[in-house]
Amino acid sequence: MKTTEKVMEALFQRLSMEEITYLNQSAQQIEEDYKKHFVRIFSTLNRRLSFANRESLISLPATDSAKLLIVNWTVLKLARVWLLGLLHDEKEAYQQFIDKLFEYADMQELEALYAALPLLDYPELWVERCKEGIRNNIGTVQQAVIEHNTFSSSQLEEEAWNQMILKAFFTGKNILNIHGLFERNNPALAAAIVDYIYERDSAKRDIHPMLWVLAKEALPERALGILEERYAAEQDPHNKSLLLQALATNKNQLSQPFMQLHASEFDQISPIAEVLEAYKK
Amino acid sequence: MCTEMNRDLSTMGKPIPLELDVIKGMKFVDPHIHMVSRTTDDYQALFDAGVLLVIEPAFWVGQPRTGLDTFKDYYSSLIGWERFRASQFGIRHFCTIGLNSREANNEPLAEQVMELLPHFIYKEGVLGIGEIGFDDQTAAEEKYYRAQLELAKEANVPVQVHTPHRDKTRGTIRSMEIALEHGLDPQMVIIDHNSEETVKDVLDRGFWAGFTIYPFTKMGNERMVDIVKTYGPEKIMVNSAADWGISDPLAVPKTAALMLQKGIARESVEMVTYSNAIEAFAVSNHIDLASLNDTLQADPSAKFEGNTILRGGQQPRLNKGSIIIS
Ligand SMILES: [Zn+2]
Repeated sequence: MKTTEKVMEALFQRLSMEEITYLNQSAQQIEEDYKKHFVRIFSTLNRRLSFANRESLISLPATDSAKLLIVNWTVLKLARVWLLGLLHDEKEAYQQFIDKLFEYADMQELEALYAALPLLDYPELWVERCKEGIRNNIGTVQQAVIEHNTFSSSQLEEEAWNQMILKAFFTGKNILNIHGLFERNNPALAAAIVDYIYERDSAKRDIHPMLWVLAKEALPERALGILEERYAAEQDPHNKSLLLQALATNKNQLSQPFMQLHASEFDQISPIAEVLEAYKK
Repeated sequence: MCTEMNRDLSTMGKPIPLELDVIKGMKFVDPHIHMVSRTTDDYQALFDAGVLLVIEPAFWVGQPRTGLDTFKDYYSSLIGWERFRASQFGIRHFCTIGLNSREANNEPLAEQVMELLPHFIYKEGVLGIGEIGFDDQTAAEEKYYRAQLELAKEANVPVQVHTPHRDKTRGTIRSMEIALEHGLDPQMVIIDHNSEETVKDVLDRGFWAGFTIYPFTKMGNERMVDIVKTYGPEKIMVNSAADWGISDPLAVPKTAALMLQKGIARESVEMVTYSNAIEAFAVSNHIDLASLNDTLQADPSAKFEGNTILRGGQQPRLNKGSIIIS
């Protein structure tokens, strides 16, 4: 079964008969002449679904949705993404049409449009758009691009990817929801993270534990000193376990006094996958 | 577009200490406020005072726009960034979209803006067309007022009408007559910025009457108390029209407090500061009103987990009493 069909199946399970009929009709109209019908259907969809339905949340197993990672989407967002999946045309017309949707979009439409990036035809056309989404100032829109979205990990070049990861930290996103986080980790990102760690430390602010995990292969001496201090002061057991992972990678470079106090804590270190899983919860 | 400074200190009344305790637990709507010109302090103060829903009419931003794109970006910000910004403070943000009277006088640009409007009026967060109407009462203003009334009729959405400062009574009556001429239902039209001089004409014709509590140039809220005592609470609503001028974003809750202190019944105060606006702008077509109660009752310190209940208090508070910024 194709992605769009799986999505449709899951979506229609949530809707009333009336809503299903409307969406089926709409899909038919889009097929007949999308240029005439799509904008109206897409933009006014919020007024076609009941309050309860449009805001209720839906998740699908990743295997069922292929390129789409549907985790806690509103039904409205899923329905809009499904509609977007029905659009097909030759390249130039397709791009022009989708660009206009972005240009006039309201907040929820933007969320749907960015969430649909992995589903759109001609992926190369949407790389700049994806970067713009990351620069967007609206939290929920950023989230639609950054979290549970396969487009960025498969299409962004390294520089843009690294900007996205840093942005995710700066704007308080759920880092473990970033698809491809570890696969696309790289030395340039680690260097930028180290710089960020220094800045946070100088400001005496919290340092996100995942920063240490991502940069653990490339921590200079000064960073290790900060890491030792932060580890000793850390109260939260899950955060502490993450910091321990970064310490373990650099075990041979740690200071004598630190090792004297904490050496035994390395003995029972858990595998990183388990630590991340526990932290996620 | 609501300021016109001609202070007359005698109209300012004697100061009464701010007593917001009497309105604790009440919720309010400010049906006319220009949040793009306001700070985050205002959002926090609004939330604290119980203003859970605001309506922001598209207006003149103080500096004339010279191109279509600045209109487009402004409208986009009303359905995008500003809406999100409000939500961070637990406030539901809605808007009305329109070409304001002042800029209707730039006809070549106005023509283009008219073509832009249909792209925006059906968007999420847009309740209707506004604020439109007369300012200098020119022919161009009339032309685009009429064109936008037609648009509202076609879309079957409410209209928020700005009435002029100068030659107000005549301008107000003219605005209503034109709306009736175009076949609009007065139930769908909010005539704003009323005064003692215009209120009777508006209510007699079956329109909603908005009152802007705006220091120095428009209504003071003591006068507002007298109006509600005289005309009752039906079809009357108050707003702050707070913008980039000296204005008070807490005008609605403050007026509610004053009305209660002056012996107006609580149900009447609720109508004038909440339910009439909800009904006039058909807000229940856009959100489940029960969610406003959820916001009112929610623990502001509870963590916001991306669900649709807005709790407020998710943004940190500055310590205003300290010279330390950390
Ligand atoms: Zn105004």
